[in-house]
Order: sequence, then C-alpha cells, then structure tokens
Amino acid sequence: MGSRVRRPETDILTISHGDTLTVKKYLTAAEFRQLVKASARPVRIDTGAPTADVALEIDPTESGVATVIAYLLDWTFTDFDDRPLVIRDQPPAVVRAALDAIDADSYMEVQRAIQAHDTTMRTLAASEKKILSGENAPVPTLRSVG
Amino acid sequence: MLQRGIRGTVAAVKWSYFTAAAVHGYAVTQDRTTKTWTVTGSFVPGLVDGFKLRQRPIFFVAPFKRGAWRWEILAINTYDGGRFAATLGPLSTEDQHGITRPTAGN
Repeated sequence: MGSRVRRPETDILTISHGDTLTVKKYLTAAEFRQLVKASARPVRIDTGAPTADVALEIDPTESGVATVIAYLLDWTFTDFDDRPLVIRDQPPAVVRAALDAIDADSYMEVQRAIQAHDTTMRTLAASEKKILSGENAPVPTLRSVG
Repeated sequence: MLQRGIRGTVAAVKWSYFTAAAVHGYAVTQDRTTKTWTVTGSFVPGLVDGFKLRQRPIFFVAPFKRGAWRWEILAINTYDGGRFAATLGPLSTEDQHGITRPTAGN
C-alpha cells in the first residue's frame, strides 16, 4: 500500500516572454474541496413551491480562476516600473486582485498553462493508481464465509 | 548572557509552501556565546494545522518589507493558550522572489 499523503512539491511552468509560474504539483483534499466550492454557484430551482430549492452548478468563469488560485504559488510578473507583482505567500484575495490586474491575454495564458498542468497531474495520478492496484476499480472487500 | 534579537508581530511556521501555523507576536533571540537561535510566540487561534506542524523540515518565517528571515525549526514545544517555543537552526534571508541565501554571522 502506498502513502496517501504527498510531500508538497512544486513545478515551474514556462510561458511566453521567458516568464515562469511556480505551481503546486498536486492539490490536497482540502485544496480540492476549496476549488470545487469556489467553482460552483447556487441556482434556484423553481418547482412552484413557496420556497424554491437551491442546487449548485459549475460556473465556468469562476472555475477557471479558482483552478489558477488553487495551484499558483508565485510568478515572475512585474509591474510597469519593473517591480515584482508579489503573490508569494499572499492570501487568495491578494492573488485574485493581482490576477484581475494583469491584461486579459496574459491571464488567459496563465489559466491555459495551469489547466494543462492540472490535466497532466490528474492523468499522472490516475496512472499511478492503476499501477499500484493493477486495475481501475477499487478492490472489493472479500467477506469471510460463515 | 549576551543576546541579540528580533521582535515582530506577523510570522508563520511553514512546511514547504504550506502554512503550518500563523503566528501573531514573536521574539527571536540569539545567544551570542553559543550562537543558538530560539523563538517564542503565539499562534493565531484557528490557523494551526496539527498535521503540517508535525512534518519536517518546517521553518519559522518572519517577513520584513522586501523579504523574510527564515530559520529551520529544530525542536518545537506548544503550550496551552497557543504559546510556543522553538529551537532554531541558522538564519537565512530570502528576498521577495523567494530566493534564500545564508545570512552572515548567523
């Protein structure tokens, strides 16, 4: 049986103009839950009843930025005076504000790079699981006879 | 006992990029004879992750305007009320890009 806890590791993603993004290699369960929570928006389901039911649906716009915030640790971006745009060790609201301040093309480049990284790491994690278990499905528990 | 020290408000105990505990109020001192660094301080209630605090290596990181002082925590004791005391390794300084370098005379 392998460990279900991963050491925190980072990857460096190189994007245009020689800029780099430092990202988490994997997300923890808490980070994944936060990503799911930040990606969803409440939707009222009108059933005609006096109080409408509320469901959650994925918000495509928020899902993208939530994925970026979940993975992004640092970058080499600077402002117009060539001073670093500091996001390292900053709270999510500060990272979000910096992401909102960069130009739209740069933001989309960051998002595409991090979404590609997310896909790569999920594929890698799935293949590791397959290698460890030898199959896709969880191994069923065998009941003892009697 | 001759000592030099650093006092501050905001700091953190870090395990890699994770914050294992947020610190509000700390005092780092160095014994000039033994060169040993120690820190005492208080954790922020609700911002202490017991799992991450038990991992190694962990670091005491105290930010300043354009960087941070960083020490490896060699041993840490926590007390009721969120107080803690730790023995630290050598001091290094990191700039705002996160590049760490040893600090002279540490």
